[in-house]
Amino acid sequence: MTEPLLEISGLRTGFDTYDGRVRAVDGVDLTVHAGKTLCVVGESGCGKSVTARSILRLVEAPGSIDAGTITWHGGDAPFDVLSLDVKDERLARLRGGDIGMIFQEPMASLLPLRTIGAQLIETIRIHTGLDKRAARAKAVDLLGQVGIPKPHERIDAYPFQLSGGMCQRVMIAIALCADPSLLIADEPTTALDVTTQARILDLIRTLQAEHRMAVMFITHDLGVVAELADEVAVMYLGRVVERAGVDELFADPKHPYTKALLASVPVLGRDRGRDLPTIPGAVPNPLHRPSGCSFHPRCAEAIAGTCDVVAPPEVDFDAGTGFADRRTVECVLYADREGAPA
Amino acid sequence: MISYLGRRAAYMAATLVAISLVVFVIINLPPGDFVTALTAKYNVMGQGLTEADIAGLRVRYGLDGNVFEQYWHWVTQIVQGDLGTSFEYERPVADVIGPRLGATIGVSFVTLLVTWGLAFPIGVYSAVRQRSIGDYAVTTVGFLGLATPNFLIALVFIYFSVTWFGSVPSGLCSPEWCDSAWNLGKLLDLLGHLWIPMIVIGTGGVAGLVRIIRNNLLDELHRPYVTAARARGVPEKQLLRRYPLRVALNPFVSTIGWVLPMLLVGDIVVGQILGLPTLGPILLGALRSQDMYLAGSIIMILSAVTVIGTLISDLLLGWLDPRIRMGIHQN
Ligand SMILES: Nc1ncnc2c1ncn2[C@@H]1O[C@H](COP(=O)(O)OP(=O)(O)OP(=O)(O)O)[C@@H](O)[C@H]1O
Ligand SMILES: [Mg+2]
Repeated sequence: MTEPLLEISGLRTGFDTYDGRVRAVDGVDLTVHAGKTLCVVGESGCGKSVTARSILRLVEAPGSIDAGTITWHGGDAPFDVLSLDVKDERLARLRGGDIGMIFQEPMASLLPLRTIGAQLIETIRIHTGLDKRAARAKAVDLLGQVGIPKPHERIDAYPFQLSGGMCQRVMIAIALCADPSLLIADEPTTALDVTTQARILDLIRTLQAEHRMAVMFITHDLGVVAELADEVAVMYLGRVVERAGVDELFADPKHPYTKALLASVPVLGRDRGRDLPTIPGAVPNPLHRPSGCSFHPRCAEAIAGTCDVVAPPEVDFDAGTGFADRRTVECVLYADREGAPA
Repeated sequence: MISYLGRRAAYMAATLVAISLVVFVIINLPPGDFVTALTAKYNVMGQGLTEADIAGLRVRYGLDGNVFEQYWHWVTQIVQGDLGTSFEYERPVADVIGPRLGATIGVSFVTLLVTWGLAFPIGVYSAVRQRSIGDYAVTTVGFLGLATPNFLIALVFIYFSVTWFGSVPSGLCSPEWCDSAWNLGKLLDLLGHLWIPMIVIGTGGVAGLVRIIRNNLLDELHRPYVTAARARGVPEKQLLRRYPLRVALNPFVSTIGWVLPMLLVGDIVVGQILGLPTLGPILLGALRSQDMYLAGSIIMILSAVTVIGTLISDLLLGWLDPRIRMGIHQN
């Protein structure tokens, strides 16, 4: 097992709204290991983006981080990102230096009024201290690396002159400019067409191998998870409900929510002409979180009198094996398995 | 950029021609023409004009000929700087307007600079610190400033200066300095007078601009490109300046088009109350006494300045925003 690079523990992030505080992230524990890919999956609104933004302290008013620690192990000495002053230079170095981040809407993530070159060179200069000429040379080089044709010409293009896929490549080039050890990708292909999606995924995989960086990949597409992930965290309503290695998760899903998610993915050949099962109901409003296990109203295996009353325990299948917290599930169905190897 | 410039310049020329047509119609709206009106006036005063005088005047103003010849004559004269004669003042229009133009532009320009100089930082502060005490204070005072008509502020000013100092602030210079040549004393005297119209005209302007800037910036502050720039480590100050502020500047720059003509007219009512030597009161008088060359000229000048202002803001916008420069329409 490789060392942890980023450890999120007990993270709580909420938003003040007129109807009360929305607990968008409600006690999340996640670990990204150096050089590995962690995929975070879950339905829309379950707090994936808020978790990712919390890591770089990008949550803006009316939101704020209420509790938890986010420990970065990538530097000389580990430190808690959440306890840093906003002016701390370690935070400045994390943002875009040690951690690169790409987003769901590549076109909107670039300022239309400045060329992609200007925005790329700006970031390079912030993190490397290169002079203008050297930074420009590096920018052209990076644009080439992410597969932009004629980089020395395109560097002077404006974002609106490029396609969504090209803009995402530019965002990736920006994220890579200081050789980060972690790339956070928040649904980077959701806004793109299918062929472009596949190319961007290929690119991320290639670059990950070349730069030996870890990737935290957020998606709701289980196909992408199967392709990219080493480890998977399944989120539901602001909590991680199941955590597993990618093969284990697909072979032996434990949490009823994970099972339902997997069942709703079409399998080529098997599901031809057949109605796919869907998860009944919709994600509840996080303002009105169901009591007990927040998944129980939609759960096929819910136990009346238990699931709607008590919060489910987190069962660790690897407890005591030295791989603690690698395979966990938050569900009463496995409560008696506490401590037993899977 | 060149083609963009060319397009804007062509629009501008076309607009100016259209405006000159309208103004020509306005000038010719009252029954009779300038010379018949003048003849009538002199007859009333009992000093008739000779036939030769009248014929000379008719040639001078190009009044004999069809409408197109008359229009052409008028336009060419304007282009050569001859705006006609004021019926009321019995002097060339240029002589009537000229001295006031300087005062108007002076007062307005200083007011504008102060207005922008104040409004810009206040608007930015209020947006960046949204919902802070400072922001609430700015917004509240801004509402009051917007809701209070300038002439009311002027009247309040006059009231207090009469009750406290026993005199009414009027015009831009004290009588002893008004006709003297420019020197330090006159300059100080001017500054002593200038602050009153500046405050009176400026308050509403500052309040309006602060609102524009604040709202523009608030729209931009939470865009994905801001989050993305922060995520890649762009320091906050640089981030504000290089990203959302640049976008928020666009609507601000667009205001130049209508601010310039306002500069020239000044605030007509305020000008009247404070006795400012601006163009506004003259235009009012000219329209009332059907002094058509004077009124027409002022309208022509204002229109031309509006067109020029629009051109300037278009050029600035094109310079600021590549999408506009390249003729790409969003949404
Ligand atoms: N600015 C905000 N104000 C109020 N609530 C917010 C805000 N941003 C997020 N939330 C809340 O946080 C919850 C989680 O949002 P988040 O964007 O993390 O979801 P997500 O898992 O990334 O979904 P998606 O797949 O749609 O991107 C949302 O359900 C929403 O209620
Ligand atoms: Mg999201």
